[in-house]
Amino acid sequence: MNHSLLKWLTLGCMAILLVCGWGRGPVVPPPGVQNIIADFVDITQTMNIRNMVSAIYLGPRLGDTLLEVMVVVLAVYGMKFVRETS
Amino acid sequence: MKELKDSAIVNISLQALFPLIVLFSFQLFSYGAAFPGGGFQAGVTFGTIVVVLEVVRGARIYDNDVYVGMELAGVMVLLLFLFAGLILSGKPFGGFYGLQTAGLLFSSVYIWLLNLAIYLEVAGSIVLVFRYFIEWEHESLAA
Repeated sequence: MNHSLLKWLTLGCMAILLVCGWGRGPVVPPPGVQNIIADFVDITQTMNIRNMVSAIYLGPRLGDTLLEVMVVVLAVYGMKFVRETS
Repeated sequence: MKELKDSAIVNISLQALFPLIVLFSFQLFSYGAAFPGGGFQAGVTFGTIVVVLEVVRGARIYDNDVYVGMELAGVMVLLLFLFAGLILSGKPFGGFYGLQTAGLLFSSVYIWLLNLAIYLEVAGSIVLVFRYFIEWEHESLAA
């Protein structure tokens, strides 16, 4: 892609974001977020661990973790395949 | 211009740091359930120090087969838990969260095993991907 075109596209996107966000004020968490956090604390206590991040990505979101691991494995075998064929 | 691998300071520093950083990566995945850390972070730490050492020295630390083995071992453990969970509890990865002990290290044995699997997989992958990039670069420079 042309550098100049990319530059103008980037500036255009930033201008649109600035116009859309102007005057909207700080981001306020929606109601009920505290309940979600309490749920995650319950999850860590159920799992008997202390790290809430681990409790999420090795608990309810373990499927996402597996997919992420598969992406990394695919990257390795993809590179191997490209090197062998090039 | 003097190359990095000819620098005694760089070589000695990295040789001294390498085992400490590998040990630190073990700590990151082992205690990932209790403190900040986990399998991904530990794998990246291990992979980074191996790659840095290889780039500076210009020589490999262990063959590709070792890292392919690490990667596959991690994936196999994850797939084992996926299917065992389906068989035991009807849910993927389910049925093992009750494996718990007292203490911090194995407060949840299952989480420790998951962190280990992710650590092995990510560590092996990081090293292999960087090696392929470096080999690619060498080939394109030689051509």
